[in-house]
Amino acid sequence: MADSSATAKDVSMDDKNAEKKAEESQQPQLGVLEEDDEFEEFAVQEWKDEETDVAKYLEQSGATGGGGAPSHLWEDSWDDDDVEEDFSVQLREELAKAAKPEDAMVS
Amino acid sequence: MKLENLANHINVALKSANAPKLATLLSYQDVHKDGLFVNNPGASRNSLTSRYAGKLASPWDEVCIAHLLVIIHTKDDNYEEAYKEEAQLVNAFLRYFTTQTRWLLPTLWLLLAELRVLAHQGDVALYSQGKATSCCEDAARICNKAFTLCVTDRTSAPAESRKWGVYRSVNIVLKCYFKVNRTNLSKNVIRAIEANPDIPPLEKFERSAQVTYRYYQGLLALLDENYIKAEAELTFACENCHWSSPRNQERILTFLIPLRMMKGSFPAASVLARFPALEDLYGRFISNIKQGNVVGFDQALVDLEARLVQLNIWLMIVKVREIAVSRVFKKCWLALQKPSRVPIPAFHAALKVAGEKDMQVAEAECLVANSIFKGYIKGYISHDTQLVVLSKLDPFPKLGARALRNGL
Repeated sequence: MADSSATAKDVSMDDKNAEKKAEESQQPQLGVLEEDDEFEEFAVQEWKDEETDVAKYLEQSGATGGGGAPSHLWEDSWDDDDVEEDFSVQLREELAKAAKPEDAMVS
Repeated sequence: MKLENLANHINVALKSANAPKLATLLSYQDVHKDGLFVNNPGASRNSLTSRYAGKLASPWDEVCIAHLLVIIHTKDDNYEEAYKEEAQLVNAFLRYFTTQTRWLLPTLWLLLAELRVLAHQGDVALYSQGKATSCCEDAARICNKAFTLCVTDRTSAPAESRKWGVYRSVNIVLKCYFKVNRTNLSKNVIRAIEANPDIPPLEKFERSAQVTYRYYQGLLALLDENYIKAEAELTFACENCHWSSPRNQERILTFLIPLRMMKGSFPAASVLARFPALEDLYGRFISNIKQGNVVGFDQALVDLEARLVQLNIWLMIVKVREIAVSRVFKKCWLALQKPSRVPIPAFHAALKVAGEKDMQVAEAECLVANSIFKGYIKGYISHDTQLVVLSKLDPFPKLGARALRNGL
């Protein structure tokens, strides 16, 4: 299926990425030497629901007295339908410009 | 302590089935190492073998000799040799392990942990001498052998089976595979578990094993672009991670956040404040999407490219870019007071506001078409009239309502 979003910009990013990978593969296996990104062994093996990172975090951040749900970690309502004045003003300016191309030429 | 004394202590630990004690006796980092080193000066593999081989019950002669040599080599900072001896030790230990039950697992965990540490140091030493690294790959094979011995216990009673070590050992194997970049081998070990109905279900295992296993399952699903499975596995890991490992939680969130972002769900500001590295990695993408700044998003993509590629999440962020573009269209529609038809030049103007100063109208039309195809906009394009005819009902569906799609 053709991906119509593959604009010129996307393509150039892909190219850069491919070059980068080629460079990396020529280097010795440095990745083997990095310890930082590893998932570490847990210090304990068994724990209760109240001892999870999320439970402690919600408790400490005071989210409804320990009864907080993991959903509090995520923000889903940022996409609500509020009209942003700033964007509207700029959009009107752009539309005005587009409507009078000859003015733009003169200026 | 002479080697004979060490052997005696090992005997006592074996007789009393004291696996943690046995682990201590075989640890090259335990306090007994100094006494053992001082009392066995100048020992070499040859001198030790001629003196002890066969004098102690197999495989403990080999285990003791290798253990002493590991200590000697680490004192010399000779990690390449230290690793080789530790590998011999673990291999000999595994010959005993296969005759035993679950009780011996605590010893196995310590030995595999120290094996991995020494393998890492061995590879660092090899690398610094300009030689090819091989210790971690070798350690992966030995860990795999330990895992196999856990899976294939066919004699122990169910409650005493070595099968209770299956998930913790497979987690170690997966960790090795990720480290040496051989994740393609992971399918084999996972299949070995799935093909064995006698292994108790994952929920019956300790929570540490569950979280770790599902973290790696999530990462493997990501590599397969199976985003639905990846999100489910990493969500479990995130919600069950122990509080004492914020570092692990950070690792889980590193991969869960872009998956959620693809669904239009962002981490709360307080979560990013808690993990500055995640703020650095994702904060700019999130604020640019919210502001409808596509060019700012692209700049962040350029600036953070190296790290995103290294973590294998670059592709996901490129997909998140579609959300950034579609939100610009939505902002435009809202600013025009929700008309049922939007001229393409209006969307074109909106993209200019979003920073795409040099974009052509045809390109804008192409982006609209893509947004429709991906389900961000409900409607169709009337190319001849240059109008986007929107669905009467909910033309810009909530991002959360748009389910994750694998691969797309």
